[in-house]
Amino acid sequence: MKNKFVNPGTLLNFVKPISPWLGFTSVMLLAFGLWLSFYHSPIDYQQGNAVRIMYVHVPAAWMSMMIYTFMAMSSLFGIVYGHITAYCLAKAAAPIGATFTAICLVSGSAWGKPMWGTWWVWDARLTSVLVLFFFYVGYIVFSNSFNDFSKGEKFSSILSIIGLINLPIIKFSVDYWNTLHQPASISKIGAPSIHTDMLIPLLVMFLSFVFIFLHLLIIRFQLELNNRRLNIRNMKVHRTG
Amino acid sequence: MIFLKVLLIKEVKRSMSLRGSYILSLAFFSITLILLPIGIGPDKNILSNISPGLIWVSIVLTSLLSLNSLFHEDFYDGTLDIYRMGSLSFVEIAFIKSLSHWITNFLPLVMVTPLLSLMVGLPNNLLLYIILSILIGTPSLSFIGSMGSALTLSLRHHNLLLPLIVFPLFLPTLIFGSGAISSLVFSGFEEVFLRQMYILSGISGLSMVICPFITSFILDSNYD
Amino acid sequence: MNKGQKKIATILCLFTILGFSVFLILYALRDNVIFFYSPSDVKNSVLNGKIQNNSLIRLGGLVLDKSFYRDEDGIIFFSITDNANVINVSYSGILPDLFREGQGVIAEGYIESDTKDGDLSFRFNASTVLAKHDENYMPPEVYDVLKRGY
Repeated sequence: MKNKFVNPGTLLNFVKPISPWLGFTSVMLLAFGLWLSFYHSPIDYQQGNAVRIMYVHVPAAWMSMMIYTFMAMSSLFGIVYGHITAYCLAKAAAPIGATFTAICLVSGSAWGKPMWGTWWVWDARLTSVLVLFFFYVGYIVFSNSFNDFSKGEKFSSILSIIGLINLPIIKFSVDYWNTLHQPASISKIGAPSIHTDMLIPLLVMFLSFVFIFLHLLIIRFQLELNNRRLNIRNMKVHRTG
Repeated sequence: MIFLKVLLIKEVKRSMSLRGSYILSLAFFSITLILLPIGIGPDKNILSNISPGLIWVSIVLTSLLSLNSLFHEDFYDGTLDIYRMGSLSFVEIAFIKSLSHWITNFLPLVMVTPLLSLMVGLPNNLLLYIILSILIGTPSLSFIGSMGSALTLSLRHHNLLLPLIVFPLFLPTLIFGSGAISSLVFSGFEEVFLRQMYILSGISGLSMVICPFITSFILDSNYD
Repeated sequence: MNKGQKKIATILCLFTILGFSVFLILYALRDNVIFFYSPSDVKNSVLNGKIQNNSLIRLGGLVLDKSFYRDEDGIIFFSITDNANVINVSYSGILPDLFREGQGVIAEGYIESDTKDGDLSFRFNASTVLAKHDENYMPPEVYDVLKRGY
């Protein structure tokens, strides 16, 4: 992998000017998506107005899994090629992913109370998403508890790759176990699982979440880099006395 | 092969000595199983319904406690260094260490399970089943836990961090271990029991094969 | 055995265990694992003596049409069916919004069986009732059109 973007400084200089635009776009899309989902989408034939929680819940759930995949993949790159950029990207993505998972859990809980009649139930889908949240938390705590940067990065990368095993469990939990949670609507081909008027706000919200993620990722990436620079400088100060 | 056998015997002997960890595991396991019924209340009906879960939760907690010492001592007194120079690979060492952890920490628990299951009101006819599920399920705890133990080796707060990063990986074992027995308590569907036991043995088998390789990779990285 | 043969034997052994474990897991997951028991399951198990009176179970199925009523004390009665057997359920508490006749529900509670005149009758005292909804989302008008189409 000989690429100039492997250098964290070059990458940062390239993406930094884009970052405000990403933020701007995400706010615009979010406003548009919220307007669509709260005012301009039909109510559900069974769930009525409560279906509007879906427009936050489902994109957040997608994001939580997508970000974990991103994190584990860049950790893998970090281990194989030893690039600082990959490590920093993984470390920067973790808190954002944890937040989206928390949003998914809380909004799902608020949706479950009126619809299923319970805030929480220990079925396979809910449990595996909670486990995903704990993988994020474990990764964040673990990666911040090392004094030795290079060791910490390597070990937390291994941890995040181990956690990858949870993703297929989340995905297939609704198909294999007879859970309370309904199966996925979007992946089904043919029958109209979700009406177009409801699909559009869902996708707009998802898009805005993606932009928010990218925007925050760039900011946090810069933070991670500065953190490392500070650490190296401290080490130099200690060494020279 | 002879080296492996010698190493295994040495490891087991050391853990089984009076200052070994098996006594602590045993004590901790007994304490949780005595505390839980006291906390829940003496209602025999409730207790016997949830007793498989109680026993399995105590086992998982006990293993989280005992995993700390898996590589720690050997890492700091230089024993691992000497192993590294010898003819054994880290994969083999990880395998033997996990195996000896299983023998010294979980087999004693199986010995006291009949007595303690009386305390939590486990129905008598389920005793054999729960021992079977413990024997089949717990190897996965030792082997998966060895990864966490190796990951936290160089950390100061390793005994607090290890449970945090390892417990999500223990959940499948816990779910299917207690679920298998619970299915017998609740309704007597043997098919559900059998299926969960299949999954439990599958998890144990997979972790026995895969985890030593990951653990050895982590141990290697500790010497970078 | 020399060193090479030993290595091959070890690798073969590892792959055998690996394959067997994967097979076991896939075999156990070949179809749905049960989160709840259907009325027929419950009936068979009671007949076989597998479920005793007052054992805690999860009962799932559809709410039978025209079986729902509420008595003066606010206790709710309905029946759960899997189109083969029916079990009467009593429940006092708040029902979820999605609860309606024909809808899938899961009830947690205790089963009571009675053998009167050789006839087996059941009563299920639910402590919790959960509604299960499907993966279809659409506006009411579309639903009406679809329903007329069928």
